[in-house]
Amino acid sequence: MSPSEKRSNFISEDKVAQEANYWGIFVRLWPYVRRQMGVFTLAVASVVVLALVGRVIPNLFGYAIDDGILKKDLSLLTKIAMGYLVAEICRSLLLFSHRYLFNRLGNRVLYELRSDLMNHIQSLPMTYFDRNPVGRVVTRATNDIIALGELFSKGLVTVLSDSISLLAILGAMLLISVKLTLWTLAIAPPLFFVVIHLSRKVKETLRIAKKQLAEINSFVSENISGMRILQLYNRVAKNLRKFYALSSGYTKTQLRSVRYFALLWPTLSLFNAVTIAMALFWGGYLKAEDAIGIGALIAFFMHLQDFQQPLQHILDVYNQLQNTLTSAERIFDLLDEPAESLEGEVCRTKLSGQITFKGVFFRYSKHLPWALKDVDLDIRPGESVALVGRTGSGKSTMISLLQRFYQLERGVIYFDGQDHSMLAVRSLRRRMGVVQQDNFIFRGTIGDNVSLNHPEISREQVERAVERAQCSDLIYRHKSGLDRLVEERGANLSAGERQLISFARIFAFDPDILILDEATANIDSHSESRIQRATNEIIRNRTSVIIAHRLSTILNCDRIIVLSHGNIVEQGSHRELLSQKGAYYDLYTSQNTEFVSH
Amino acid sequence: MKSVMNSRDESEGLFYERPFRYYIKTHRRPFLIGMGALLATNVMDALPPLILKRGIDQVLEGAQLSELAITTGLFFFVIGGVALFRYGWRIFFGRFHHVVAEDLRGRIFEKFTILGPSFFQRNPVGQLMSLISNDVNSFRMAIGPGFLVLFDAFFVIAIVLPLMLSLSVSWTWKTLVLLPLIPFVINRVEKTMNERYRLQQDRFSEVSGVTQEIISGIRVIKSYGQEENQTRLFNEVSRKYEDACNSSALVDSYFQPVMEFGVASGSVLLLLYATPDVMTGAMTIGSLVAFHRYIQKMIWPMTAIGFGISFVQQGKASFERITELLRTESDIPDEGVVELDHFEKLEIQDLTFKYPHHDEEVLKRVSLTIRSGEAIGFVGAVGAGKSTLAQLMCRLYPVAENTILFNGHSIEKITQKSLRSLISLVPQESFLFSETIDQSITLGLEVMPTVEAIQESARAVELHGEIEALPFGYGSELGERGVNLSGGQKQRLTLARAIIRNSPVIILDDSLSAVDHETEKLLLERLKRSIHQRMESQQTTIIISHRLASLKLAHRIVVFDQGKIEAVGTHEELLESSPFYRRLEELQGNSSDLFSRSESKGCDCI
Repeated sequence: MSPSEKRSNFISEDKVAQEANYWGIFVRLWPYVRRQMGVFTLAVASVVVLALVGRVIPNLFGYAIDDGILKKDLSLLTKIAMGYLVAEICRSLLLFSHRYLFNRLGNRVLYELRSDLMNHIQSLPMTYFDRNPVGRVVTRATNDIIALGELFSKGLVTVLSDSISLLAILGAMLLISVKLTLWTLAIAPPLFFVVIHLSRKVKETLRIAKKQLAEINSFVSENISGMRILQLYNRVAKNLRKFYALSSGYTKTQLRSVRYFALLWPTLSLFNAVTIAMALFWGGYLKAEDAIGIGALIAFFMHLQDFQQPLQHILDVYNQLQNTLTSAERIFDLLDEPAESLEGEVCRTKLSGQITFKGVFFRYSKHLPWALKDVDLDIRPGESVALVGRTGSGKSTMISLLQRFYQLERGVIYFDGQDHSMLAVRSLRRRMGVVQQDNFIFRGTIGDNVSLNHPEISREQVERAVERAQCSDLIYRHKSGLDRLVEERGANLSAGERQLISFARIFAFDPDILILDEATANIDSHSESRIQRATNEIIRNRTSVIIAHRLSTILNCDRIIVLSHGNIVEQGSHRELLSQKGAYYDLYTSQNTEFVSH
Repeated sequence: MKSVMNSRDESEGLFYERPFRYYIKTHRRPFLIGMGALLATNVMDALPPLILKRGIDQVLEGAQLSELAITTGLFFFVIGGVALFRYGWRIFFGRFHHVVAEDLRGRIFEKFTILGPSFFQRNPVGQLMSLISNDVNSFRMAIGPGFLVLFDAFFVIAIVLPLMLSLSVSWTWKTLVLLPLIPFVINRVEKTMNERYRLQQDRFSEVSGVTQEIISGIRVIKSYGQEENQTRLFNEVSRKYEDACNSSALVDSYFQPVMEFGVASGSVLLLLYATPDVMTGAMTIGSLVAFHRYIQKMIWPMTAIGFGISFVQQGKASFERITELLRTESDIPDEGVVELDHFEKLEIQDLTFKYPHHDEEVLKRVSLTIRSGEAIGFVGAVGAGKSTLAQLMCRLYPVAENTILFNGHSIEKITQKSLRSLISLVPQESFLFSETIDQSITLGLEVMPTVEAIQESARAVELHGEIEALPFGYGSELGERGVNLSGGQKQRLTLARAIIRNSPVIILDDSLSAVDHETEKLLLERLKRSIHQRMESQQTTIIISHRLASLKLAHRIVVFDQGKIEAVGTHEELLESSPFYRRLEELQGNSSDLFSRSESKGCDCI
């Protein structure tokens, strides 16, 4: 195993499966585009008509010279000028419509893609979130989607419309004179080769620059967050030097890209100029033989001039969007990530609360030791069970498995005697309520956090739930009450208040099975007694599985299960277990400060 | 020395007042050469239409091919020159603005390193990041491309307009009459465009926010089967963002067509007004074609003026934000001259402290003396002022003169470097940088110590075995792309970081809270032993903790209550004198006591 492979066992590297390419992206986007066929057809039609109208204009100019000026036909000239004006108006309108239509199309495609992505992300198994930090997943759904949008509106659309323009220009030139076109463009291939070569270099340099910039940004952001440590530990000077090194490295790369660009654009305009010079010379030659009119020759010059812009655009796209291509590719990689299996078909609207673990084996990865070994456990309907044990003994794993966040390696968990893999995951989870140690609080109001904005939970239900969770006075202490806004991650709530809100959530959803992971964090004494009462209320008439830290909770449970290294080592009541003077007794005597200090 | 300082001050003044002029002055060479090359490019680039005119007229007159060949040759020559000069200004001007950006980035980062925590608490990381990336870039765009297009526009007008006038005065004014409208239109459109982009940006932030929430709260969502409901909420926000995108796309889409129509109108006017002159033979067809090209050339400066001005404006606004930072004085300036090389005593005299920009007094008239070799415990409720005092000892925040004194020197008179070599503070929340484990341990050392020394400090915190078990051992990367340590491991790592510094004073600010009980016990025992050793070598320890077991190791314990010192004494003394301490003892006292209490309580319930 190579070092990099080993490392990726810890946390997956942020990379894409295969080399990104424009065509691949287009193929993946096509189904979304196809849903907007009307807009798409209209937009493509605009592009084609635009390219044609664009070619009419130089010919009008040539026509004006050959048939108007040389034949001294003033009325024809006025007509041509009017035709010119009309053509220009059409051109402007088409230019507008093709841009706007493609933008609208792109925005719609991205909207649908975002929606699909969000759906998909939420269906991914918990193991995905274990492997990938939140920030990375958020980037996929936001910045990477923007990159994909750019790729669509600037990339694919530019390539499409500019290629059509180039074809139209070539066609118009060939129509004027095949010979002249061939002679003029004979010089093109070698110059074109140089341009392609340079633009490869540019692409590479831009890629490096982007990487360096990302490095600088993450360095700076980390240093800002940890500035206090740097100052306390006299590390500032060293990191300042490192910053200067990073910064000047970035500048050097930028200067390199400046150099390539400095070569690239003059070469491209040289290409344009050389072709015009060739056209002048050969055009003069043909004119001398009377094979071409002067007006047609001038029209030819004007077509040639129009060659440069679309060519430049396409090159631009090729260089600049290479980076966004990778971002775009990552989105599709995420979409290809296998979703959590939801194979169970049996939907239960009610569970009695009987839970049976039978010979359950589980580990988080093939490389890790067993997290649970041969666990057998029977929980009766309405029973409350306290799980105790040291960190890493398997308590959290047991509740994660109950919620089916992970697949068992061996054994079965039964709900009401039914193999849990037969049950539809979402309906199963819906019958369970969870209070975590650190309860995530969403932005929005307190009420939203209780109901999770679930449409079927009424305001009255929320109010009742809050009351039963012993926190109505805490909430109504503020005049906005349930509508009080909570800050990001519940920053304006205490740990105790956050806990109480998640209790209220339980009452609102009224699940058949309660899973409670008691908080170990410092909870203010004010909330403490409320939590106690709410806990007592909540486990009544409900099957409860509790990772218990408080003595009072343990004493209130029907049964205590003692876990050690993934095994159930003891079970029974508090008194029974203490008198056994076994694992529970050790745990209790060594941790009693923990049990009561809060 | 003094004159150097003065001239630096002067140039600093110029930097703040006229940043553009300052940078042109300090990077004169690339700027002037770039400008020269730009001027030459424009002069040469104005010639091809005239050569084309000559060529066309030659063709019309049926001139010899050899004459035409000379014209073509001339054309090549001029174009070669244009390419060469264009290369020149790109190189020099490119160097100019990238180097300027680097200078500005350096100034900003340097400023970050001297500002105290109160600054970073007021300013979110995202905002500061935007300063060093977006604002620096926007200033670069102003002094680089922005200046460039403005000069370019000026050169084009200065060169092409006379040429057009020399061809025909009446054609010139008839066709260019509408041109000055273009900058005006651009300005108007830009305003609308900026407004709509801002809206789009705001909506995007909302989308980001909701996404962040959903993914952070995924466990709750899954637990309650709320996936579809959340997608619905997400789609609402996402739809609003789409609308905002469409509305800015509308402006964006009509901008270019309007501009191009402006160009075309000139050509239509030319066809209408100029052709009679050609028919009468007053002007040649070659002139007509050349003039047509010049009209097209005049469009660019009109567009460029609009863009250039908006680049420069944005750059100025960015620069103002940057200078606001650069002008921020550190509240803990490193202006001391006293170098501390050893620790005798720390005196806190009648210290009252409020956090900057806060009204509440966190410490009230605190006085305390700590002597070398002592082990002191700090205890008190959350918010009682223990951590604040620890941070003040390291001068993370400013205090009044002569309230904190080391060896008799007021803290602000001491150089920061020597003060912080003297003290190692292990803060509550452990912060690890994305670096390897051994780099992380040696964060506070000037020179890299031996491998043995690093391993020894890891052993001291019971981390050596766990580090060795990692695939890359001490070379394992920490952070998002590396290994994820548990809270307890992180705390032990930050403790090792302080231990290896071997500084005269060490402060543990509740820094074992996430370490499990057995390990904690072990570490405390070890700490106790090392405190005894330290006493011999006159080292000083301050332990801030909620746990009695930790505090009992101290010679003296200081009890804090609402910013005041409630009591100072030994464990036994405090049991007598401090009600708070007594209550703590009751809660956390010996196990047999609790055992019986819980037993009886248990009986009640069963």
